[in-house]
Amino acid sequence: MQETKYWTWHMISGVIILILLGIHMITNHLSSLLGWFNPLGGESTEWGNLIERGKLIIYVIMYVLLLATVLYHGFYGCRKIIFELGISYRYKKVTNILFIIFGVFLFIIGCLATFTFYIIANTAL
Amino acid sequence: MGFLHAPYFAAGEFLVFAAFSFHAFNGIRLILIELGFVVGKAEEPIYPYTSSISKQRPVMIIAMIITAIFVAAGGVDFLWLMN
Amino acid sequence: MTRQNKSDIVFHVRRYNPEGNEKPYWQNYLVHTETGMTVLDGLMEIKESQDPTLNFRSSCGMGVCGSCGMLINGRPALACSTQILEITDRDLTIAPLPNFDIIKDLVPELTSLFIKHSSVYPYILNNEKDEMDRPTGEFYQDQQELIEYLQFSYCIKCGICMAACPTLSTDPEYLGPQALTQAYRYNRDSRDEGFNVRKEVVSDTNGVFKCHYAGECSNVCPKGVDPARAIQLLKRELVLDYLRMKKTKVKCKVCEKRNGSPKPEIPETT
Repeated sequence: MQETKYWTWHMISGVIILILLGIHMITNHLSSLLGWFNPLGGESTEWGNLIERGKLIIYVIMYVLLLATVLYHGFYGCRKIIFELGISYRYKKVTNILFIIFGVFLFIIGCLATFTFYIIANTAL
Repeated sequence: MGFLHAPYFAAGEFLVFAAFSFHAFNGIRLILIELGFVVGKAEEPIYPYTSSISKQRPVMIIAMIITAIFVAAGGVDFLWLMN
Repeated sequence: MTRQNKSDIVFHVRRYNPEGNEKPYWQNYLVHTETGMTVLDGLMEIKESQDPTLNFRSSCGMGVCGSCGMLINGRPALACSTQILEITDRDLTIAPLPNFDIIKDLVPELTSLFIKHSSVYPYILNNEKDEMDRPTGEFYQDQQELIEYLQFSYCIKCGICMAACPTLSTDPEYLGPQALTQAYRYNRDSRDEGFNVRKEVVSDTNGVFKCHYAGECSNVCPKGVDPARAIQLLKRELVLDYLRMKKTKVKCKVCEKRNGSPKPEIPETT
């Protein structure tokens, strides 16, 4: 039942990533064309626009969710590839634990970065 | 940080975009077929047998056409950025 | 090896004798072929008149026992159901089924197939133990319920789908299309109540989620069982069960009223 759970969440996280990463791609590459996500005009990746977007909590929530889903989706994919290429049974449990530890570690770092920028954006002059 | 504006960085970004497009639309196709939506129902096999893989072929073709459209659209944008 | 006329086909057969220390090798035979001759007919002709040491499995000769599965011109197929002149006019390459160990020549070791098959409880599991042990009547099953699993019940356990599966060739521990199809066949049978038992086996690390839907199993199945379809439908069953969205079957009673449909009339015999 474990594998069903992991695989179902792999699919659900894939759909969530499609939406959130799509927004990220539009923000970074289509903003000047569409006029979205660049409240001060020009490129959305300029500092002024970054600060204006970074003040809103919705961006923090979206990026934290994107980070969590990408980490889960990516690590499940890597785990599946490793298992299919063949490792013995006792290494499978160790691999699972290592992926979980590494994933949680990267998630914590990513969250710290996101919240730090939120604080910077809200205190910038 | 000058390399962020170098042309090869834009080429790298385009590759990421192309890979994301392919992975996304192939992933949607896989969600549909691996949940059994386009494989058809169980039926009495009559010779010559047809496989359910032929039922999902149109979905594969549509997914690849949409991917090609997105990659081409992204290519135009990135080429403009490189110039 | 020179062909005397157009209907002589050169059989390139993969030989292997584990008792000797040699590796597998190719041996060529010239067989006079006529229209309608199957690969199995050719092999029997070789064994009877040219080389009695050639080993291969066969039984029914009509595509229902599943014994004669082998790799014919690079494609796994039943030797008794493959006509020589339909697939070649010069050379025919015959090798044992891949993804299995070889006992000798063209004889594969199918024990792994049977172990994987028996691990998915390929029989009706029903809680009415008294009825299963001492049946008092038939289990009612309508046409719609039969169609849901009938296609997958035609499996003859030939191992050809297992030979064609690319996942199995990378990873020998994968359960394989044959076992997973039979798990689905019994899950869909309205007489069966063993889904919860089978799901522990099929949703294991080596189970159904290793399938990438290459579809080769369905392409080569000699009985049209379409294992790829069964596997994707099995994945759907497991996901819906995990999300608690699975429709529960009404418990199948022996000749009792079900779902509003009337009890079948059993005519009185005079």
